[in-house]
Amino acid sequence: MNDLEKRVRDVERAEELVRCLASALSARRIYSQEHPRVKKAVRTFVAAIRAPAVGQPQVCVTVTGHTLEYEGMPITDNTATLRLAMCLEEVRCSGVEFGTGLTPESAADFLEVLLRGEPIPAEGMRLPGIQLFPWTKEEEEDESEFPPLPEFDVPLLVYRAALDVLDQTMEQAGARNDLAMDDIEEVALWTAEESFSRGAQIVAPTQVVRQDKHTWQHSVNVFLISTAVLQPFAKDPRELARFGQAAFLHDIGKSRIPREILQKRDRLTDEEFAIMRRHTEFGVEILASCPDVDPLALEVAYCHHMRDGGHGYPKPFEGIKPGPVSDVVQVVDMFEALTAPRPYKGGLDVAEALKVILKTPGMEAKRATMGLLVRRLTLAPPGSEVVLETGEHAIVLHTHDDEPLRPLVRFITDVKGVPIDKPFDADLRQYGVQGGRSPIRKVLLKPAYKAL
Amino acid sequence: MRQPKKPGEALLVGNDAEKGRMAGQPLTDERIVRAPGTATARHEEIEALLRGLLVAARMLLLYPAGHNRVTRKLADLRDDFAALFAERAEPLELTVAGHRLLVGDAKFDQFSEIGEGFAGYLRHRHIRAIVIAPGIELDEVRLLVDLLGIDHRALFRVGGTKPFLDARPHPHVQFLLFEAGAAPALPAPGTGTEDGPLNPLLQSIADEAAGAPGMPAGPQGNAQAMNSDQERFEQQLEEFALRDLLDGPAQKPGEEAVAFAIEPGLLMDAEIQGCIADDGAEMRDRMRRHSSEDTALRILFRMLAEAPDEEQYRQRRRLLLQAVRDPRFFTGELIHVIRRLLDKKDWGFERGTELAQSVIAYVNDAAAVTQLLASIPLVPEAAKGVLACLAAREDALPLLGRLLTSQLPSTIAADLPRVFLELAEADPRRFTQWALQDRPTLLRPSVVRILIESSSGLLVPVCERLLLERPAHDRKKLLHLLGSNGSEAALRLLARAVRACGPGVASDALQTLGRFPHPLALEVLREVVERNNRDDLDLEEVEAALHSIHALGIKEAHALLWEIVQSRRSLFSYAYVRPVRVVAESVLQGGVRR
Repeated sequence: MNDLEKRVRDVERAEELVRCLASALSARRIYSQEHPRVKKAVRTFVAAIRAPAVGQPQVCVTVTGHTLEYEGMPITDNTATLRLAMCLEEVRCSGVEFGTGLTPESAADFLEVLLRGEPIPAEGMRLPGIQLFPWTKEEEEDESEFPPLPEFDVPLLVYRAALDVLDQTMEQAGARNDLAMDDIEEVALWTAEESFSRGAQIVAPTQVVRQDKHTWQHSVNVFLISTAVLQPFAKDPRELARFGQAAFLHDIGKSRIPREILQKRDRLTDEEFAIMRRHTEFGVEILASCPDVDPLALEVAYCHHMRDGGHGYPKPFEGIKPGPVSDVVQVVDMFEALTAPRPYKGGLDVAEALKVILKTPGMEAKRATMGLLVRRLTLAPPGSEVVLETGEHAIVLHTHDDEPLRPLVRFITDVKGVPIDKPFDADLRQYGVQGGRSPIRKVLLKPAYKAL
Repeated sequence: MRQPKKPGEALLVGNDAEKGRMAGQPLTDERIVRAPGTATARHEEIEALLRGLLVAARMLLLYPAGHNRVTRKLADLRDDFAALFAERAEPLELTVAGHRLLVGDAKFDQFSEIGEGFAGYLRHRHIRAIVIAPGIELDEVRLLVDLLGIDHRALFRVGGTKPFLDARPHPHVQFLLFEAGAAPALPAPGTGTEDGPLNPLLQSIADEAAGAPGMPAGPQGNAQAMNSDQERFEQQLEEFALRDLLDGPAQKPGEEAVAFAIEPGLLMDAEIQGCIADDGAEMRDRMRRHSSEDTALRILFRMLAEAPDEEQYRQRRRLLLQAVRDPRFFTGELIHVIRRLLDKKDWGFERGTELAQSVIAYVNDAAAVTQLLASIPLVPEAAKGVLACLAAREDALPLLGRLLTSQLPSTIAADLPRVFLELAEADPRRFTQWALQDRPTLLRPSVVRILIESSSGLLVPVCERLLLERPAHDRKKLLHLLGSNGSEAALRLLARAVRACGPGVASDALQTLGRFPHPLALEVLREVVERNNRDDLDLEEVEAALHSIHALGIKEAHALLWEIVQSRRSLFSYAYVRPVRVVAESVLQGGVRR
């Protein structure tokens, strides 16, 4: 075996280890330490490190900006590993070395360290078979000089992860393979957790990204907006993840619609439209063939175009009526489709879109659901750059649920638009009158989102 | 970071024409406005000052008092004034004339927008003119900014402009107020919003959003309403004057840079208001009542019913059957679905029955199947088919075992024991394994009864294991069931179990044997006593056995006890060790109580 082959084997091993660890961490997020699923995942991880290796028995993984690397090669390849990298960053760990002395107990302890999120000691941390290296001085200085803006950084990561997973899911569904439900659950749970901790901010990228660069971007937008709208109605992130998962998969049936119909720029012919309408049935077929599919996902996939009074499709049938989650997904679906610019049409503005939905036959009874959506919309989502009445530019850090138009902002320019040396934060809720006119004059597109 | 300005440095750049002016020489407004070359520069200075005052007033809305940005802005303004007065000794007069602003005697016409905007601010505060003298201090600049920044209605709620100005010294700034009645239309004190804090400028807009305050009826009310409307209009003029002056026109919806063209006013739209009136209570209520499992089941059922061809039918049938394996799908709706399947009108008898049998057989939860079978009347043929399907399941034994303990319709209940026993006899090892694992089901009277009556000996190994492994609760329950059954089959089963267990059999088992007045019970008990010889004596076991022998109440048992007691006098005294004889004697005399 030559050096290159050895190296490839080493990287594969490191990837496998990281995947096992990330999977164990995901399981631990959902279940207790004693749960069989967690124990099994931990055992798998320990077995992976104890398996005979071609090269070094130890594996050292480093953390660089939400990415895990093995000897300079990125090995973060799915949502779970991305979240693992973020956890390691949160505990201020620059790298981890796993050795064959790893035991299930030490692996379980390691998961607890990650989930607690408290910084590891400055001298690092050692558990049997695991060594955690602390941040270097330079990293600490970087952190203090350029504090991260997690409020809109994380939603962006969630958005990207959701796009990736949906791309993969659609590909699998189109090829009639089993869906990677673990990945879907992971991204739905992550979104739900962030939605619980950040409220409507999770919607930020969907409100700022209005380009039509990705085939399934619409579905991801619907997923994120629906999750945000439904968040107040879920008792915990797990329940919200269930709702979100249903929204995530609502258009899964489109994976079986021919591309030329899906991407057609002109108006669909009657025959094409008839095929397009079958995506609800295809969705049910795809989902029902997955083991342990959530009935809610089935319902949403089938009912999200069904309107009252026999409007929409499929046509009404005894006892089949869209539930509240289906209603939310339907309203958000329409709203997103109307407001999103497409190559062949411009996007409507919010007021117009809402009025179009209100006038759509069969949507009269869904006013309350629309109200929930309106409450979640915000002029200035976190991450967007705003221009204030004074002429100063600021970045929105946090949008308050009660006063979405008076967010917490970070000032970045003076009144003439000249960048200032030391940005500072201010809460616009403290100024002016509650419910009065917002000091925000206009909202600019954040460059980071443009790159999406 | 912004560098502090030196007095005059920025404002007087290129203002060479003014350099030769003598100190104290009056600077007429003619010169300010019309002097070629210098006029533009002077206008820029004054415009910058007025703009600066308005911007500072707006900043007070954004930042708390004492914020370093506000402080810095005020200091800049003070410097700007100082720079202006460095070139001229005479005061700066700003006078309101209608909608215009006069600087000195000349109207500020070239920059009428900011002039009009500024004049509007002064007029609303009942200020006719301001005279600013050289040497203006920071506190006085602050006073000017505060005066511009405060909501004029709020100002009149606290008594008007005069008390506001009187409260703070301003030696370098003179204010000339309109006389009473000469001021522009303004609300009388007290007609504004009475309660609420003293809010800044945005209060007016907030009030507008919340709707106009209640107006008295009649001509007075009309006049007030007119005043109020005019006032709001004026206020908006101020707002928009400032807005346009600061940064150019507001962004239009649809521009690329706009995220969502959501206007704050959208929320005031009547239709949208109607939508957001509900606070989510309806949604919560629907979530409580709605069952997505039911809906999903109906969807699968519908898709099956509407399958366009045989291939689709088979595929969708598979999906339905796969779905019902999920316990979440077991709801009342499933019963409804099965009933529909059994309805000959919809599906025809054979296909419907076959589907119904399959659905029941696929439901992956014993309790659910029990409930289904208990709720759905099946004709005998269908019942047989269902049982056959259930017997083919992986979990057939526990499922049928559980069904044995349930109240089921006679069509099912009649055949169930037979199917269960057939299944158990087909693989006794598996049966034993299940029985030991699922002891709660096994140890139900109905199940034990069926097993005892089967005479296939299935229960013996289970009894042996239960007695040997001594799980106290289960052992007692089994013995109780056997004892209360009272049949010879139960006795034989118990006897075989006790014999198989050998020494160390629990006293409970021996006690149970005492309930069977049968020679076989006596024989087993005698064996237990006899095997406790000198070398291996379990006195507790002997005592239990002797008590059970006594409890049998039959002649042979009494004789056996006598034989044991008398054996010490016989030649065969070695047959029973002394303690055994002592206990037997006590039992006979009734002297020993356990």
